[in-house]
Order: sequence, then C-alpha cells, then structure tokens
Amino acid sequence: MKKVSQKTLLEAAHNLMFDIDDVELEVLSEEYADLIEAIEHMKTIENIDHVKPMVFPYELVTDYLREDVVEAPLSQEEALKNASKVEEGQIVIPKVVK
Amino acid sequence: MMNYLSLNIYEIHKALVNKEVTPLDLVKEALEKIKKDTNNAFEYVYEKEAIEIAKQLKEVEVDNPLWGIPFAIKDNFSTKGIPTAASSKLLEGYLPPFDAEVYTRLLNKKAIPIAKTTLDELAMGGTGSSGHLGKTYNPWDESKTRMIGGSSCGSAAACAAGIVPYSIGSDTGDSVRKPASYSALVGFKPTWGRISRYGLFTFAASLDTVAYFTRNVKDSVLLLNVLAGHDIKDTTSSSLPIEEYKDNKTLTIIKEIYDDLKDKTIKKAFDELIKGLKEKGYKINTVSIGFDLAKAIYSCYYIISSAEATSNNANLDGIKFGVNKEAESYEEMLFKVRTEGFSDRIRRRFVIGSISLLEENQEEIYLRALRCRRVIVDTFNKILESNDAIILPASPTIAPLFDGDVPKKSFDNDATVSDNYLAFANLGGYPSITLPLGFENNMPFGVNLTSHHSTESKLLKIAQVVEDITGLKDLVKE
Repeated sequence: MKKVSQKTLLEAAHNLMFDIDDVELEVLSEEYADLIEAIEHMKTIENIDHVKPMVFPYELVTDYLREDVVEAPLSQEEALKNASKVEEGQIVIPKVVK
Repeated sequence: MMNYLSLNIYEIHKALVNKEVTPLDLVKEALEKIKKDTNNAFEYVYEKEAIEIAKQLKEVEVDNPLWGIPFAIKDNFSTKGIPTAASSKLLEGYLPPFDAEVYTRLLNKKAIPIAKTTLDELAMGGTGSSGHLGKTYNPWDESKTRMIGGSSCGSAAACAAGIVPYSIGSDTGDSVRKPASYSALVGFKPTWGRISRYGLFTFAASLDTVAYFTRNVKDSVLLLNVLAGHDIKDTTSSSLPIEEYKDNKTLTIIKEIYDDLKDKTIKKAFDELIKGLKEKGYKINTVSIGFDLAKAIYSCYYIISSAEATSNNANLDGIKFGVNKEAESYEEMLFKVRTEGFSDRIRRRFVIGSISLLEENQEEIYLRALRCRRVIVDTFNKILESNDAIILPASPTIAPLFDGDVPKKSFDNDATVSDNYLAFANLGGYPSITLPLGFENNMPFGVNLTSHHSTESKLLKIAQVVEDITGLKDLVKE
C-alpha cells in the first residue's frame, strides 16, 4: 500500500470543497498512516482476495411497486423555504458566467 | 416535583390509566427537568408544542402504552418545521419540510415529542463531544468529567437522567449500544432495515439503523412493535418477518474479544452472568475468529462508513438548505460553507473516505474493506447459525474521561478489539442489544447480545433472561 503525501491529502480536501489547516493536516497524516497499516493488516486475512465485495449486510429483495396514486410533492414554497436567497422561485448563487 | 418520568413506560401508562397523572402533568414534569438538566443533552425543546399536544389528549387509550408519554428524539431525524441541525454548524436553522417515519409512527400513537437531542456531528463519532453544542455529560458522573458516549449522547442522557422513559437514536457503528453501556440503559439496534429510515439523515446507508434507549427489555419490545414494519418510502426497509422464536439455549463468547478485557470488575460481572445463564440451562460456547479478523472489524467499518459518508454528505452546500456564506464566486461560497460548517474531525473523515474512493485507491482500500466485510459477515453468520446469540461485555471500561482517554485521532489502528467490535452487528445487519451488567466506582457498564438478522424475537427473549439474572433494570440517575 503506497503512502500518500500531505499534498495529496490537501488536494483531496480541496476537491471536497473545504480547506484544512496545517495542524489538521498533521493529524490527518497520522490517521492515514494508521489506515495504511490497517489495510496491510487486512491483506493477511485468509481468503480476503477470493471473495466478492459485500455492499449490503444481507440480500434484500426490493421488488415492490408503489400504488399508482398521484401524490402531492413538496410545494415550491416548502422546497425553497430553507434556501438563504430566493428570487422569483429560484435559488440565487453568485454568478458562474460573469 | 412529580417524578413519574423516572418510571418505565408501562408504569407511567398505568398511572395515566388510573388518572393519577395526565399527559399535561407529564409534559410539565419533563420541561421542568429539562430546565434543571446540566448534561447538555438538548438541541430543541418543544415547550409550547408539547403543552398543546398534551392539552388535546383527553381520553386515555388503555391499549396504547405510549399514549400521552413524552419522548426525545435525536436531532438527525427530520421533524417538520422543527429546527434539525444534526449538531452541525452547517445545518443550523434548517427546518425539515417533512417528518421521519419513526417520528410519524410515534405521533400516531399519541406519544408526545418533548425534545430533539444533541449528537456527535452528523452522527459521526463516539464521544458525545464533537457536536456544535460541545460535550454532553454522563448523568451518572457528578464530577462532569466522563462522557456518556456517542453519537446518540443526548438521547442517552435524557433517558438516563429520568427526563423521558425512552428516546430514539441511530446506530451506525455502536452509537446507541455503547452509550447504553455507559449509562445503565437498554440500547437496542434491530436488524438493518427493520425500522424505516425515511427522514433519518444518512451517514452510511449500508450500516445506518434506527435504534433506541429504554430502561428495561419489556419497553424495548413494545417500541419494536410500534416502530418496526415495512415502509414504502424507504427502499431498504425490510419486509422479512421476525422469525419465530426458537431458543436452543446456546450462546457463544468470542474468544479474542473476551481475552482482550483488562478490567477485572467487568470481567468478574460478566463471568457471574455466564454462570447464571448456565444455571438457567444455557450452553455457553467460546468461538475463536482469529485476532486478525477481530481487529479488522473496526478498520473495515471505518473505511466503509467514511466512504459512504463522504458521498452522502456532498449535498451539504449551504445553497438549498443550511448556513450560507457571502462570496464572490460559487466555488468560494462552497469552500467557505464547508470549511466553516464542518468540524475538523468531520473534514478529516471525509478526506479519508474520498481517498479510499479514488480510482487509483479503490481496489486497495474501499473494495478491500468490502471484501473484508464479506469475510467478517460470513464468519459471524456461521457462528450465529449454530448459536442463538453472541454474548460479550458491551465495553471494556466504564465511561471514559473526556480529557485523557479520548484520542485526538478519530481512527487509530492501535484501538483495542474489545472497545471497537460492536460494529460487526452493523456490518452484518444483526439485531444487537446492550443491557446493564454492573457498576464500578458508581459508574455503569453493560453486556451486549447479538443474534442473526431478522431474529429479534429470540434476541429479546434472551435479553429478558439476562435482565432477570442481573436484576438491573429501570435505572435512573437524577
């Protein structure tokens, strides 16, 4: 398992649209180093490379259809109630194309 | 001051039926207790709303034990028009436009919501200290130096302090079962999918489970009957029936987790319980899963939950909802919102999750964790096919101190297996329950039972046997 530089960790943070300071970056590096250790440890588990990844805890069949009944969704007013800036039924954000 | 809310649900119901007390009296008692509470458990208190609801309740429903009784619910459940922030600065002021299904089911039973309870930010943490309100204290610790655990810290504190007889939480790794151990409560996480998660803020969808605190097993059974059941609004909601109760009186201990216990008082109490179970005719096995696999439970859980959380919380941008920030550009705004809105622990966890999902790392990290999950679940499935349940101490210690025992890192590969194994029940979707087991220096510790998925009936019967042996129930610390 390759090590990851602090630069890569910082890039990942920026891709997630937030910043982290130097102190956080140090702790994050330690956590990541621990994670690498844990991954190395996982490799030693018998049979681990010969099983399929498991996404959900057990097989859950979802094969129902809801009744074809018209239901009222959220009203425009309710849907926009939590947005900080609304004008004429639209959420306002800073201009993208200036 | 009246003190009905320190009783269990059935006792309060009896008092309501006998007209010793009214729902309005109970609401006033709860509000008074909340005002005096010093544990920092609450996000929002239904001062006016609860009184209004209570005033509407006139004729007691004798067949409905939840009628007119106040409850608290973790602040990561949507409650229409009631502020719901999941203890994140980013979501302060958010008013959900709909109700979570569990909340609706309780309202339909004419239960009275009295408070939204605080939590570790976005339910991602186990210390009850990372939310926007800071530390939640353990009512059993008068010195206010010990945690109650998280993430469902506020719900645990409200129930343990005698403010409500039951409270709703969520459990993704151990977020109800661990705090229950630290606060002498019954903490029950049913099978994954058993209770609808509609309206629960998603942390890690493949692990998240609605769970709750009560003060005895009987109340826990009652709540399961009210809350369980398929919900068309949640596509992961299970329609599998609860299996018929077949108790073969066979339990097992996991050797590596038991052997990791250092605390003599906890070990002694556990051994005495095992002796008591043997006297009741239970056969107690000890199974080895290998130290490597026991140790991998936590890291497997951590990688999967962090990856899912990173993706699920990408919608927190402060635009559609949440706290917005002034900025010159869209990107700058997102940056400000997410940098100032999330705590450092959450940000670090998102980075870990994101790195594990990167194309170049996916096979090495994320998919390896998913493969590890398969091996862990296959191993525990086999164990649970030949044993009714796994029995172990729920925590290797009493509630840790805030300053000292709490690690700065949120992932530590040196973490002990006995302190971090409970997530196996989330990886496998198993029902899992923590019950009081004993006290050390006046601080409680618990025992945990876990059975195969969809076997709640069996698990709760065994839990009742355990409760009968320990005699520890209806415990309150006011």
